Amino acid sequence: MEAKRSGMYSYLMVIFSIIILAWAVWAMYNAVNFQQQGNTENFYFYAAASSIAIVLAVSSIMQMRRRILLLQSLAVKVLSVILCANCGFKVVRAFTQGDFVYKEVGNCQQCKGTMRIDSIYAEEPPKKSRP
Amino acid sequence: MFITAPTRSGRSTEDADLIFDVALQLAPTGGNSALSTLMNLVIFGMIFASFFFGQQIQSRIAILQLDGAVRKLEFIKSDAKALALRTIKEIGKPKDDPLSALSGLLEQFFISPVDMDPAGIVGKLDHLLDVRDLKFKADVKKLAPEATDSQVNNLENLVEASWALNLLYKIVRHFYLLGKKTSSFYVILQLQMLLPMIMQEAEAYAGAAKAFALGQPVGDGAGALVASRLMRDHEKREVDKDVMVAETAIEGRRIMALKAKGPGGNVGKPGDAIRTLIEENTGKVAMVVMVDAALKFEGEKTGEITEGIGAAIGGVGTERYKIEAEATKYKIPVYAVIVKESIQEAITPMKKESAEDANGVIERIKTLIQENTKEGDLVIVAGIGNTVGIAQ
Repeated sequence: MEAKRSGMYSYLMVIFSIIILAWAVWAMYNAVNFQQQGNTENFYFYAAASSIAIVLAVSSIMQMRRRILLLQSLAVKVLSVILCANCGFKVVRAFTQGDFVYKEVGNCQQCKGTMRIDSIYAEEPPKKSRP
Repeated sequence: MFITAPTRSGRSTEDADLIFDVALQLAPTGGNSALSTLMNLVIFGMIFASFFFGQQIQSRIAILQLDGAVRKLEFIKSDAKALALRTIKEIGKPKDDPLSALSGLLEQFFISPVDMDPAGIVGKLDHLLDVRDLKFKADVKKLAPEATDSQVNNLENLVEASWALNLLYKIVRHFYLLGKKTSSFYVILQLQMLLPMIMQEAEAYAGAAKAFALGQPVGDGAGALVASRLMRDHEKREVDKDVMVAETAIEGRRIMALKAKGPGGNVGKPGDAIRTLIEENTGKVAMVVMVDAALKFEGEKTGEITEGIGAAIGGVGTERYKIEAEATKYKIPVYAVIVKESIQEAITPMKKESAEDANGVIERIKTLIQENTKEGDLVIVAGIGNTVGIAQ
């Protein structure tokens, strides 16, 4: 629940930063216009404000990107692989407290043999491949 | 850049005019409005400040960064302590509130034996570690009277992870406050340089605490998992305190596979167990193969299996010493097969790559045995590491 809330906060911050970035681009466009008109005072104001906004927005987006990546890496799923020693029937389910490797967890649906937990591992969310 | 100084009478106005003219010449558009002058003065002020107060500014920025890190560490430490408290209450069902006793446990310390005269230091260190382990386990058992042995082991590991985070927090806070108090740029800088590694370690301990609370196998258990695969469906016995052994066969060789007693969080004393097994067989052991998770370098692949020579076992070195001494006494070759992992992967839930490596490691062991021993020989295979979540 806490991780979900933290993820939501990160996405909201990214949206806010994108809005600031859009304003900064508009301010920079205005600054260029003012410079062409010879309005130095407004040019300085818009150029400075736009530069500051761009730096803040980009740094905020980068920071949030790192945070989102960290949260994604923390959201690992731990799975228990249950195997029938008789027929090899395999069931993969989420880890539940009390599971351990070689714990007997009932009978096989196919051959009524003993089902045991064969391995427990953490599976990371699939990574996006880069070209 | 060429600057022409104005020639006017009056020293103070002359200086002010000089700065004013310099500011005008540095202006990107050469404008002389009040705003552009102000901006130029600000730029000058910044250059001046960076010249004379650069180090102080850098220190301030570093202190701000350290302040954030100390707060984050405090949060991680408190979170781990709360998790330990919650798990103790859930599993152990204590009659009194265990908070004060747990806080006392987290403040425990260990004094290493004096090393001015190093003769016999391994024995002394081993004895002190035994006393510490027994006391820690007894204290945890007192906190959680309803917990089973296996659960007590998991709780002990959980409290140890919490203890490590508490210590890490106190050390970082100490240097942060010391740097702030003395305004020492170098104390602050050293801490700032180490900060990424410290934070990685803290996050790994936080992950370890969660794994121990739930009893999930951790990456360090790769060796124990291999030994458990060899021991499966064979008769087991406790060879030494908290170490289980089972006899099996590979390619006509007698294999004695051993691992710490699971599925509770436990590393056992494999050094003592190997010594006992060698003595039981009067030194007639063809080879010892040790399987463990080992630290990988950055850039290396997780789960890569490599082999080498020597006793693959971590810790302070007492167990390694015992294995090396016994192997030397009977001239027994010691081989190591390792599964590569990062420090974070070693103490957080075992990754799929490491879990799937168990069969690959067994194939490596088979090759080693075929190449270096003959049929009928006795081989000891020791699965080293924390056996949390792995039975035998």
